[in-house]
Amino acid sequence: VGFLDSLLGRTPVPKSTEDRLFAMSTAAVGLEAAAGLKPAGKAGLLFKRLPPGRFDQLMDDVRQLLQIQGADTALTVEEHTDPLGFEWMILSGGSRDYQDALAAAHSVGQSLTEEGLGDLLLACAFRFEQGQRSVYWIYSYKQANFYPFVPAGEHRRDNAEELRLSAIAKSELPIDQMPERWYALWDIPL
Amino acid sequence: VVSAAVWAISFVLIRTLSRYREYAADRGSAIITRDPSRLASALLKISGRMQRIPDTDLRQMQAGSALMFFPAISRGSLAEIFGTHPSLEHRIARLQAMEAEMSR
Repeated sequence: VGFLDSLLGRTPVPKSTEDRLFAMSTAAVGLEAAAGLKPAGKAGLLFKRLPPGRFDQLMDDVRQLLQIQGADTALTVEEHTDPLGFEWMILSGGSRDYQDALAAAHSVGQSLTEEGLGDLLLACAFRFEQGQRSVYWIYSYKQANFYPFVPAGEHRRDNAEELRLSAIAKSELPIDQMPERWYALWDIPL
Repeated sequence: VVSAAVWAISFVLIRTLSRYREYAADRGSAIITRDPSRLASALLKISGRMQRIPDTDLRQMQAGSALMFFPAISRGSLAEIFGTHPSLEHRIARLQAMEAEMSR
C-alpha cells in the first residue's frame, strides 16, 4: 500500500483472488506434515444476504455440478442459515486436498462475479482437526487472504495458537498480515 | 574530526553488536526451552500483537464496515540502526523461523 493510498484510505484491489483461494489445495497436505492439522474434508461458503431465490439457484447449480462429476467425488452439499441470518453452503465428504470443494467454490464465485454480486460472497472456511479440537482456515474474499481461527470455548479463541499456525503456514498460504482483520466466525456451522 | 568520525562509526557498530547479542540470547533460550513458539508468544504478549486479533464476528462487521479503517504504520529502519534492541517484529520473525525449522 502506497503512502498516498493510505492517506486517502484506498485499499488496493487484489487481483485474481481465485488463484489465491486455490493455494489451499496444496497447503492442506503440507499443513498436516508441518503443523499436525488433519483436513476434515469440510468447507463452507458464507454469503451475505443474496437477492431472493439466488441462494437456492446456486445450490441447484452446485448439485448439478456434483452430479456431472458423479462417481469422481463424494462431495455433498447442504444449506444452512445461521442465527445471524447469514446463509452457508456447506460442502462435506470431499477429498482431503479440498480440490472438489474448491472447484465448487470456484463455480459459485464465478457465477456471482459475472452478475456483479461478487462481494456478497464473504468467506470460505475450511475445517481441520488438531487432536480433539477443530481449527479453521478462513479465506476472506475481500482481502484475498487466509487467516486462522481457533475457537477455544464459548466466545473465546486461542490467539497464541493462531499466531503460531500463521507462522508455520506462511510458506504455503497467502496469510493476511494484519491480525486486526482476523475476524471470528463464532458457532461456525461446519 | 577524526575522533568524531571514529566515535560515530563505533557507536553504530557497538549497537549492531548489541542487537546480535539479543538475537543470540533469544536463540539460546529457544534452544534451552526447546520451545521457540512459547518464547515468541511471550514476546507477542508483551508487544500486544496478540491483542490485535479481534473477537468481533466477521458477520457483524458487515453492517458498518464502511467506517472501518486502520492506521498505516511504517516502521523506521533508522530507529533499528541506532537501537540496542532489535525490533520485536524481527525477533519474533526469527523465533517463528526457528519454530518452523524445529517442527520439520
